[in-house]
Amino acid sequence: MKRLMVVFLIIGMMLVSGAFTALAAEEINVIYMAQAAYQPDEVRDMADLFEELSGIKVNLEFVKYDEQHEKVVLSAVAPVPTYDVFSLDLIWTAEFASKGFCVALDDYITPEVRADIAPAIMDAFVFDGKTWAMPFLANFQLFFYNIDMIKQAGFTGPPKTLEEMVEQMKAMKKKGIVKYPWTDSWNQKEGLTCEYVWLTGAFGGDTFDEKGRPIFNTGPGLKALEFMVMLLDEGLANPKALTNDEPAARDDFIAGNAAFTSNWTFQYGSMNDPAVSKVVGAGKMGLLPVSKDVLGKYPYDSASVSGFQGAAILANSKNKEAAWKYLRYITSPIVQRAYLTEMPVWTSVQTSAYAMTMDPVIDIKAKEIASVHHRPKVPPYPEVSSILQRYIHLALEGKMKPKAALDKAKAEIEAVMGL
Amino acid sequence: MGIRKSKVRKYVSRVILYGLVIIIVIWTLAPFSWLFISGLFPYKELLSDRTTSWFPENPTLKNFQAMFDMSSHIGQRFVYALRNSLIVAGSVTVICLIFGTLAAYALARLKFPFKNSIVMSLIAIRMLPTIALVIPFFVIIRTLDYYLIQVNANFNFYNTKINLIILYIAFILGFVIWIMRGFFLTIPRELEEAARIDGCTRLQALWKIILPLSAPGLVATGIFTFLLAWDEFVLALVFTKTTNAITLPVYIVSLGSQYIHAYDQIAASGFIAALPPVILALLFQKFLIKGLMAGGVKG
Amino acid sequence: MRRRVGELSSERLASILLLPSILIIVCVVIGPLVFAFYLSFYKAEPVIGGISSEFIGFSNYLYYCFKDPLFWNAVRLTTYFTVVSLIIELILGIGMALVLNKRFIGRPFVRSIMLLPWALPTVVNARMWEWIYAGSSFGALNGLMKVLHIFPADYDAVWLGFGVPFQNIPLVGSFMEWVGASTALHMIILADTWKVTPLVTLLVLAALQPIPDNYYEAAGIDGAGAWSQFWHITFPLLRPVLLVILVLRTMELFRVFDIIYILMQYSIRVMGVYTFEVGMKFLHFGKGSALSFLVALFILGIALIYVKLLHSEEIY
Repeated sequence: MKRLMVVFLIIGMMLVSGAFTALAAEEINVIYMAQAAYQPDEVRDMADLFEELSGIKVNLEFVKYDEQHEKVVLSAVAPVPTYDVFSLDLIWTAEFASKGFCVALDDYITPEVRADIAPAIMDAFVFDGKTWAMPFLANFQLFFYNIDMIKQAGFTGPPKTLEEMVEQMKAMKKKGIVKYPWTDSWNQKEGLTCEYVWLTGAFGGDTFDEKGRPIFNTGPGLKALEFMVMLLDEGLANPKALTNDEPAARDDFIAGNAAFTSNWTFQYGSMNDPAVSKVVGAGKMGLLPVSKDVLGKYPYDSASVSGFQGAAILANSKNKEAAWKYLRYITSPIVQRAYLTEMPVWTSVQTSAYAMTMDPVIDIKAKEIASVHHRPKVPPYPEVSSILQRYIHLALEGKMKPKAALDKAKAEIEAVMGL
Repeated sequence: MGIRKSKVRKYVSRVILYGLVIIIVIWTLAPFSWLFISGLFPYKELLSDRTTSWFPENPTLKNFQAMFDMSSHIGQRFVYALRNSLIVAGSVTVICLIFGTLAAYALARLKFPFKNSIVMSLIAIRMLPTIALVIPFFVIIRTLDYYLIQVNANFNFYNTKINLIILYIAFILGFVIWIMRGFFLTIPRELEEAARIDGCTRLQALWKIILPLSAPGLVATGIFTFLLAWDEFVLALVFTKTTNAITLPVYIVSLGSQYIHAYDQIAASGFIAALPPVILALLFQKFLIKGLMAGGVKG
Repeated sequence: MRRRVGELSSERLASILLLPSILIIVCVVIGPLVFAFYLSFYKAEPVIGGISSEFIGFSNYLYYCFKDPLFWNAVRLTTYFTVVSLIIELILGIGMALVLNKRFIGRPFVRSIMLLPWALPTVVNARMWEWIYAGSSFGALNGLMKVLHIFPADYDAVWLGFGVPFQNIPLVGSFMEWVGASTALHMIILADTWKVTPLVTLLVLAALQPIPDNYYEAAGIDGAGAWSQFWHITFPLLRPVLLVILVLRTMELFRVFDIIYILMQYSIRVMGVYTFEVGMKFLHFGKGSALSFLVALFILGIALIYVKLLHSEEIY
């Protein structure tokens, strides 16, 4: 029996000593969502250089987008710091700020910095008059079309309006050029909300008003959902879109199974990569079309949705100064210049001669980024979006009429927001 | 004529039997084999049309090697996750076996009040869904940590292996006690009594007579415990965040991203993660099946 | 048994032996369970600097039982998932066991590979099937369907999709819609069944072992057919083990979370997933606790039946 106790004690001691590990003083933990252009290895490269320059060790953790919210929120609620810096999706700004999960950065951000970042981008991270993250990645949706299919169908160029696009799709379907001309990422996830937001924009409105109240059940919001349902009913949209996430929608397009799609900037790269794409040369990128009724309303006659990502500091971080140094470094113009696969957030970089020569489509991107609509900036955003996704999806599945679905969604959202 | 007929019938039933057996074998082995084969594909070939591409043209071990490449992010995290999983599952197994055996002995052999209610509540606890306890755990650990870090900045439970170990033990211990008790009950009392007449104390009898006799049971229970701890996902998902504590299930789920389906990494890491439990199960299959019957558990 | 001088009484010894285990279980399981019950009467949410809590009585329970349609959807969906999985597992499991109980070359090998799906970690199983079900031409199941000419060459099914199966059959279709069943759910049932059925097979096989062959021979001479042999000889002997399987699996299935969360995130809201979403994604600790408690109640109810049945069957 004694032997048994000794064994147990030794094991216990080993475990205790191994399990409570201390954090070194100059070390920061970063959680980053594995995303489009900045691949884990690239972010690691950036961090390596930062370690060289500053002597601060950087531990990186990459998670899927879907998981990041829970991961950050649970760490933010815990009194123990697990991360210092995290990538903040713009939709979390209101929630994180109102619950005090992250630190306001107004004391750190200089006026010169503010002057060089377009208000459309910076505003995404402002809540309650304070800025909660440094813009890091300017992601947004663009229009992708297959010019060969358009020409085969007897048209000269990409559609300028949604109505024109429908006309082209009907022609394609009639001629048997492609079975389902439209594909998208309409599965019941955040992507669906994004698609819905830009389409609502394309019909001339927003999903929520300036005071953060839902208004999507009438006018543009309703038209947008009716448009989506119509695409499915007419057999223009691939029914598979209902289960597609963004890469799946991209795969449809680059396999030549769709003539049109909307997607984030990352699709441009894979579309032109002969190793994976069957539509190199035919696949083109342009501005998302709007309804003919709203022509002239927007400067570039286009509507898109923002998917900006900022870098923010968790409120329970013990190394806020080191965290800020790192944050300032990875969002700096110098780093962004080196990774032009992603749209830089700095105006000076966007318009630099270097960027113009490196990225031939930066002009389109700049126009589209000026056309973005934001998703609602409300504290219970995850719940709001979840309700919206659920009802939109029900309408797309044909289980509810668009108007009824949106009315119910609005009622539930108002209950959640306490309106 | 009659003899030939029955011969034909026997032949046909043999053919049907082997047909069914083959179907069962394919059904059981095919998915896991496919996971392994997928791990041998270079990424480009992995995404080709399956009607023609079932085996890699240029098979490679690169995907598996990448998991142990400490210079890459993927590899580094995998190695840490593997290490954490081994530590957590190993400690849980050892501690559960020690505490569980002692308690099971008491419940199998000793007379004392409330014995039956203890046995019954052990079963009831085993039925509790982890998910029902995640929220209170989270709030309690959060509060505990709040005071702990005021005592010492480096003391906390969140995102540590010790936290996982404690939680897992609590969930698995009831099961271990239950199943060990079943094994002890099968050992004839006379053996123990003979030992006690020879001058052994109860614990000496447990150590010298009962434990060696129930070795197969101990092995089986140990493997069950290891598997349960190796397999656990919800608690690890909520309570582990960095390489300090993440376990393999959390790692495997985190692979891929919004834009990349990392099926090559999933196949390779999934296969490696499956190896320890699968090998253990196959090595000790005889004990396991007995144990499964005794405990009738583990889903 | 007589007690030696100086030896502990059996009560004392028992309490020492049981103490560590009971201490752990009380502190880490029972305590939190009581705490969850307490929390379920509060509106508890994280705020700046801590967790706010406000006593609201039975509001959380009333909300889920009478106001929230999602809760009852989750109950229906979870019940459907449980019942369908259970039926398939039992039929397949018994069927496979009856086959493997026959004599054939390679029987030990076939029996031992039964352990493989059982030992496979749930997470690996989930991601393995996710890859098999991939809704593109590189998905293995789509490839297989095309090779077998069940699908035309240019068709790729979306296995993890939300289509309602049998939608066009009058009653079945509306029933499926009512429970919220989808193609994805059924594919998940298949994936989960693959992992669990071998366990059922092994348990049934072990129970079949003691049945001597001459039972069947005698029955064969009496002219009993295969079905009546199964019904009159095999089934009664399998009763206890089937009962154990039935109840244990019901509980395992009812609390399903891992495989559905991994494959579908929050889009298939069974009770486990819904609880997790409310508690850990939306951070409503009070509401989430009420939900957890409701789930636990359901399961403890089943557990109670289990304990009763075990008693009456004298399995232990």
